[in-house]
Amino acid sequence: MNEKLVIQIQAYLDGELSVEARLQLLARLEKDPEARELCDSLKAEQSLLKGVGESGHELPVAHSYFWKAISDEIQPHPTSSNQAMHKQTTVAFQRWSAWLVPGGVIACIALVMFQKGVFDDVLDGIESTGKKAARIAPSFHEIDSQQQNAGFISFRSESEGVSVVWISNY
Amino acid sequence: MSVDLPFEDREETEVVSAAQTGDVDAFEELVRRHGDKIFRRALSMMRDENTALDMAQLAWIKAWNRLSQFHGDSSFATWMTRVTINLCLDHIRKAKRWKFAESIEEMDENSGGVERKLPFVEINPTEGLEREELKKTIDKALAQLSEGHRAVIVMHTFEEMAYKEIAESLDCSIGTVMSRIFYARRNLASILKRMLEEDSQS
Repeated sequence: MNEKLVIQIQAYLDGELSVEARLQLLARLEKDPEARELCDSLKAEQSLLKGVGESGHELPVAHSYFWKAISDEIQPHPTSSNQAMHKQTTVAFQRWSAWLVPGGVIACIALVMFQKGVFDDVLDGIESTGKKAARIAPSFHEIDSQQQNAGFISFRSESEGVSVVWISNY
Repeated sequence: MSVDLPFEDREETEVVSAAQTGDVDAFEELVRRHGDKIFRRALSMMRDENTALDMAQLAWIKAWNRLSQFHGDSSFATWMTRVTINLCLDHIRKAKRWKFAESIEEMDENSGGVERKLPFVEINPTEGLEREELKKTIDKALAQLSEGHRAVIVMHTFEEMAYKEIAESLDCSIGTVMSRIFYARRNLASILKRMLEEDSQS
């Protein structure tokens, strides 16, 4: 039996032969008992495989575990440019924090000292109120100076066209 | 309205459509529905549970990226199975564990003469227990086939793919597919006959 005939029989059983080729083969099978026997064998084997089917293997892991690996791949992740930007921001913050932390500490100490009147002794050393005002705003000149017990000091800058009133707490 | 139903209660076409718009929950429902079948197909191709698990997961990831290519010409399960089979074939090709023979003569060298008659095995599908045992026996026999022969058996017999479709998947001629299927079946029948004889003797 030649190879071509064997393959033709199989194609016939698989429904892959053209009408013309199928008619030719059927005529051959009528006359050739050996070919007919082979055809029957192939047919039985096909029935066996298709009839019995496959084993019912199931996923060997839980769905949640199986899905997680898929989900991790298909869910949107931060892009590489976003990650790079985030990294740059972090580095810049770390650089600034090296200065900000000691600067903040110094500012806090200064604030506490100011509130406790530590600077009052320094200011008392300045004799006149005008000098004190000049120290505070040297470019301004006093236009209406009152005694300290009056509670306020006012300044006027003609060149700037601005008036400033200093109100004392005591 | 069905829109308000959870995906598990919706028709497959609706779930697929939602997944195609990027709904991950809908896609998870598809994985839940067809996860076993896809794993089973990967296992039948690879014959190794861990590799099959990897292939099944990769197939789902690939399917997610190519969902727009599914137009409903076949069922989603069929389309997904094709994705899995092609992925497994690619994996096997890359591993260079086998190559497709291009001639029937080449096939014949590994399989013996064409003249050898196929063993004839009769079964009665109505006998449940016997059928289950046969199923396991066939599974073991499939495992003994070469990857090339197993691939065509799976594609043709179990997936009922046409010669042309198998040829496209394997990137070979229809003639090669026909000869390969024949030798694969004959080898499988020989293995089955031997196994059944051994069982009957024991």
